[in-house]
Amino acid sequence: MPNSPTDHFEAASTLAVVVSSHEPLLFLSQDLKVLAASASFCRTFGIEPSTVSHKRLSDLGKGEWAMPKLASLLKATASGNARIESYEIDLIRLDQEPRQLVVNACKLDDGDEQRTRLLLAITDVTEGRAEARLKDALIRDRAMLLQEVQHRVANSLQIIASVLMQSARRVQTEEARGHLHNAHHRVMSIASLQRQLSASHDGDVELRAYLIQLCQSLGASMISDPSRLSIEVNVDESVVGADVSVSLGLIVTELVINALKHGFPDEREGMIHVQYGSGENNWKLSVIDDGIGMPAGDNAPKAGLGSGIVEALARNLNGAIQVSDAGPGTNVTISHRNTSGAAPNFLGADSNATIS
Amino acid sequence: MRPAPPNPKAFTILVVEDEFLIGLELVDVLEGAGYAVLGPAPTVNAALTLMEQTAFDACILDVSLREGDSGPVAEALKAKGVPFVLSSAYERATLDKVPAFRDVPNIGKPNPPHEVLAALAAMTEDRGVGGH
Repeated sequence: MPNSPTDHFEAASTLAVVVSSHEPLLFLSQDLKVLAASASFCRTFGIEPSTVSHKRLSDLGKGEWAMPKLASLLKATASGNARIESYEIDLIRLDQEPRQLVVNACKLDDGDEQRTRLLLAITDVTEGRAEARLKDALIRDRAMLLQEVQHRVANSLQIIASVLMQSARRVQTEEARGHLHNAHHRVMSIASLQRQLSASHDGDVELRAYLIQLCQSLGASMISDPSRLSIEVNVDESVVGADVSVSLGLIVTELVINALKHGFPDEREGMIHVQYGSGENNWKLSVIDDGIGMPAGDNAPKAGLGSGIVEALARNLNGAIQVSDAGPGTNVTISHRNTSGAAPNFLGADSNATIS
Repeated sequence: MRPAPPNPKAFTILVVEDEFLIGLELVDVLEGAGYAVLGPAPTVNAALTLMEQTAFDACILDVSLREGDSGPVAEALKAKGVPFVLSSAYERATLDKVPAFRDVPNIGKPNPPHEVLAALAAMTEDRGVGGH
């Protein structure tokens, strides 16, 4: 290579920049001889720094850089026809694992048409890629594990539901049978939520879809004549966390069962309305029937397990229960107003709702 | 009460279910509605053996059995042209990984008795009386 004084001068500053770079860099002539290699390049790829100068790229190390595809890309870059941007190649060395490289090359324009210089940057992405693959695998494993857990939960709920129905068929008294049927409804209410949850993937539940499914299920198993009794569900766009939705679902289950059992004796016709609406800091759940209404005073039936559950769940949600005469029928409303900011995990409803 | 399936005495249902308690309950529900029950078969082999020995009209097929999925049973049912529904807690996307389960409705798990009966009524409806 001709070493004119200017040539030498230009190279000195450029070489210093290249050699001291923290990135693996090669400074190449047009005929792919190495003018300089960064210390980082030599370290990363196990090449003795004193051996690189004026060596052909294809002769570096034990010849592992003699990659025809790389050479042709560099030649195309030198002639100005191409630019290597994020080109991926594998570096194959004897007795070593292949390394995955990403290379970038550009032609350096110093105004001299006669003398073409190339800068080749090489990044070893082997570890990064392996990490990304591992992460993908972990995410896949986690999703599979979650699905298995959901599958097992659902299967277990089916076993519990089956046992309850078996027992209900075998007990002798109507009262015991009623309790077992109620227990079955509660299990199915949670199972229905489980389905919504496994479809949601982020642990939040669209309340409308859930309560519609829940009431359809309750109606199908408890209403023998749908032309006589029906359940209407009116719920806004609320999306709530799993723990809140399980409580709301159980409250609806209890109140709908109560209304169906006690509100419509003697083939009385009617309708049960399930309503839910929420604002920025409050929500309201109502189950309203147009049945015979609740007897007041001393004739009032003892609060069964059902209403005890409703009270406990409402308290859990910081909700107040109000029972009123719907004339005809009964209106049970649970309302919540968030004054303390200590509301349960509640993800708000409308687009303007805040997350508390 | 719930409308009974058309001439239910004429229909035999194969139940494939490896969970004893769930199988017991299914048998109760089906017999209570007037169906005859074949099974419950807890394994693929038991199901295939029953299929060879006895005629039946429809099948409720649990997907994950102790020795693996019930794909081979689904294939045999399809080959025989017998209608069946899946009874599985798995999501649709997971079920569809097994070709034999594609296009087969899933009544889900847990399933309330009325949904099981509704699925059976729909399957046996167009098979006519005494399908076998």
